[in-house]
Amino acid sequence: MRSIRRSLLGYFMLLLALALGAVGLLVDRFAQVAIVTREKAEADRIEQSYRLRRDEGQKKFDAELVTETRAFSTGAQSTLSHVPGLASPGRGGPRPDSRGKDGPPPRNPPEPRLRNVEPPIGPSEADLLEYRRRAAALLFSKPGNWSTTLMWYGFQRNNSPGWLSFEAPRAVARLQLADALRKAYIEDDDHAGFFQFNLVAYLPGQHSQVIGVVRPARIGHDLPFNLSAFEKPGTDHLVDDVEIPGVGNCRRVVMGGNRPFGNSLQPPIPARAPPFPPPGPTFPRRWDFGIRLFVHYLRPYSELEERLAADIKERDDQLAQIRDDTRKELTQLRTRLGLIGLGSFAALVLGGWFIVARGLSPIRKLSDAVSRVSEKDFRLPVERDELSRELVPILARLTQTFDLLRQAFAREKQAVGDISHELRTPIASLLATIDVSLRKPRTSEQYRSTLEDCRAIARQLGQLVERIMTLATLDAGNARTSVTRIDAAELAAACGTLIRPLAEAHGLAFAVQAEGPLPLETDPDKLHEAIMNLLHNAVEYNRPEGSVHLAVRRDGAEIAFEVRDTGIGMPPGVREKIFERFYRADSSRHATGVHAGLGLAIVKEYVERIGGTIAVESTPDVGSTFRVTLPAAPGRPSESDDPAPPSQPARTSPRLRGEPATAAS
Amino acid sequence: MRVLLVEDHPPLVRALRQGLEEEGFAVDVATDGEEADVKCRSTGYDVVVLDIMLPKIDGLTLLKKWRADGVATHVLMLTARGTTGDKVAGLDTGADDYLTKPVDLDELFARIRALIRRGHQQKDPMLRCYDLEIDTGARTVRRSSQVIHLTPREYALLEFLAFHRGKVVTRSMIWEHLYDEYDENTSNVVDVYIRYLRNKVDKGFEPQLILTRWGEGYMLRADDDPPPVSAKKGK
Repeated sequence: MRSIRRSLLGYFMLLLALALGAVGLLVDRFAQVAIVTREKAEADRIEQSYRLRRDEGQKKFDAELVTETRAFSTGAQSTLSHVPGLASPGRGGPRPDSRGKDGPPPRNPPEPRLRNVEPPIGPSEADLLEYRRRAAALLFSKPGNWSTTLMWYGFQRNNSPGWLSFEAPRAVARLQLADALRKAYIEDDDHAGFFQFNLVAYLPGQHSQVIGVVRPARIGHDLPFNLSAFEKPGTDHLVDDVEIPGVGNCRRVVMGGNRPFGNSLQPPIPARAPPFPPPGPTFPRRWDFGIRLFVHYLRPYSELEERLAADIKERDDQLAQIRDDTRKELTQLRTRLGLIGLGSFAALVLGGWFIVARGLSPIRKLSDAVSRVSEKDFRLPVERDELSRELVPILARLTQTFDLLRQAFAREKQAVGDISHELRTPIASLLATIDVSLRKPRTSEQYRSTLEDCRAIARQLGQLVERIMTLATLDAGNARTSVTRIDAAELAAACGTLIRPLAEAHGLAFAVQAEGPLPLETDPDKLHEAIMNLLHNAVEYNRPEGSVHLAVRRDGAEIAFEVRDTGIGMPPGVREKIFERFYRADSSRHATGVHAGLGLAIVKEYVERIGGTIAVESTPDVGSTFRVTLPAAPGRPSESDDPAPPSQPARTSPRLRGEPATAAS
Repeated sequence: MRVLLVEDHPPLVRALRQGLEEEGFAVDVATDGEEADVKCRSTGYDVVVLDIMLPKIDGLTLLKKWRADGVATHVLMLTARGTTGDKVAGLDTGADDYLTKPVDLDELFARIRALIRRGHQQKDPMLRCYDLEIDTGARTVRRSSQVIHLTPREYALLEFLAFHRGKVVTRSMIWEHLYDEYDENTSNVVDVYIRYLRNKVDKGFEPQLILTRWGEGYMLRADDDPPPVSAKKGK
């Protein structure tokens, strides 16, 4: 058997666990998201600050690098300046642009130069063209094949401006700038750093070209060089990152030499141009080519990183710290959530226990009330207001049931009391008669009389017991009914035959009115008993000179027995009770003393047992009519009777007497 | 002593009547409530034996009416209703005693006798008068330790006188209490019985106990009644 309390509590706990679990999961999820977001923000902030510091470091690094590069470049420049045969154009002669910032004072040639070399050919146009052709061919042939030489022939003050001359290959051969750089920076004194020199030739009418690259072998390959980036005016140096195999990512500064070796790359300045045109047909007047040195200087990033190592470490530490904090916080949160969940679960289970107990209290009240009901007191000691609405129908049903039980008990008690009363009186008579007789010696005549009295009393007692037993048998439902088909008219006639002497002995007129056959399927014994009981009553409770009338007739689909007397009659209050057991209208047993209020109860039981009904009409001091109605047997007579039921009474009344034979047809 | 038996069961009436009469009671019978009412109000019975289940008026209603109207007759309920509640109801309605059927006759008679004694404020079942002793239980009479045999009617008369000792009882009182409704009232029947009784009780004994009050009736000598004794003795 399941306990409501336990199952309610079980459901409640299940629901609670689900709800708490869901809430806990949600809270956990949200908290996790929040914490993780915070952690991320913190990490970003740290990263940001680190990046700022790194950028700062890098900037510093770059600045240092640029400074270093500048120094290095200046060194390289000066190295080149000392290459024999190479002369600054500014120092070669008066130049229109000699006041440019790079132009040294022309009067103080500081170094020996390869100058004054006779041009091999005259300054004719054909010569010039030839010169240019050969120079170009020389310069722009494949770098591996040519030894970088630069020929330069400066202006001579006396010559017409625009005349160019170049050195003989003999002298040019000595102008191997790249070799000079290699010799100075790699072969003679191996520089520890990473660097590269790019020599770029500028030629009139041609694109600039890298004509020589010098680098230490450890760099592995030539570093890329984007010359066009320097074409932007004002671009002095470029900073970028390159990858060096074996070294890794490096920071590089590329710096252009502050002046080209050779003629100015600047375009000629027209204001300072001589007023006369050059003799050449199409040449620009002062066009020359020059070489510019570009220096790459690199430092591996590892240096920067070494410098930043402390910052990185700090950053990493902070990040780790934050991760740890987050993890700790999450763990703490989950622990708290679990504890809160457990706590609230326990609290709610206790609360649930209380609520369930409270909710069930009306049921307990009702059950207490029910358990207090006994056969002595069938009232439910509980008020309707004390119970919940759901229990009111149960209460009503219980009250009803207990009421029925109480009535049954009361009836039972009454019956037992009645039976004992009814039995006690004859037994008292019997005992008193015997006792009186035994008090003194009697004559045999007296004894005989006493014995006869005793026999009469015992017979009454026997009849009474018989009736009680009959009712008890009927109550127990054991009385069998054996249904046979009979003629109600015959049965009525038989009853009449039996009762007529008794009626006449009481000075009553008796008449039977029955025209048959009236077929009936019923238990004839019980019906006979019932009718006889009614007739006995009619005789017994009659007035002198009265009459008793028994009639049987068909009434629609039913057959009705009527017992009419002219007796004392009954008021309505009595009429309702006469079928109750041991009930007597005037609580008298004056007539025969046998009918201890059981006759009509037995009649009612019998009639109901054979499927009939009994009713009574009565007027006080006029008489009573008992009417027993039974369903007519189906069959032959229904054909003749059904078509004309309304005419039936009219037809019946004329032949009430004396025509029983024709009524059947 | 006169008893009204109210009972509607004929065999029981017959038996009880016979028993009571053989015990020396004068018995009247009523078989329904109305009859009982009429008889009880018209005659001063010593005890009424009353059933409850009666035709017309039931015993309890009847008793209630009597008590309300001041009828003080002792009532013994004799009924088939035997529960405590019934007994309580009967006694509380005004019954003096309650017996349930079936009843032991000896008990019934004893209770009736007890009620009669109570009616005369007499606790002792032995009635004494000088050397006369009347045992109301055994219905025996002795004078000076000598047993005197009396007929029931004589005994009843003596007992009646003894209950009214020192007081004059008239002939009509004697008649009313010793004879039932069917006895023929002949004027001198009481005097005849008094004479019988004197022969048995006073003859040969001193003092004379049964006194005659001329023109009034008879009485049994009381303790403070010596002069008539000496006077009679003197005669």
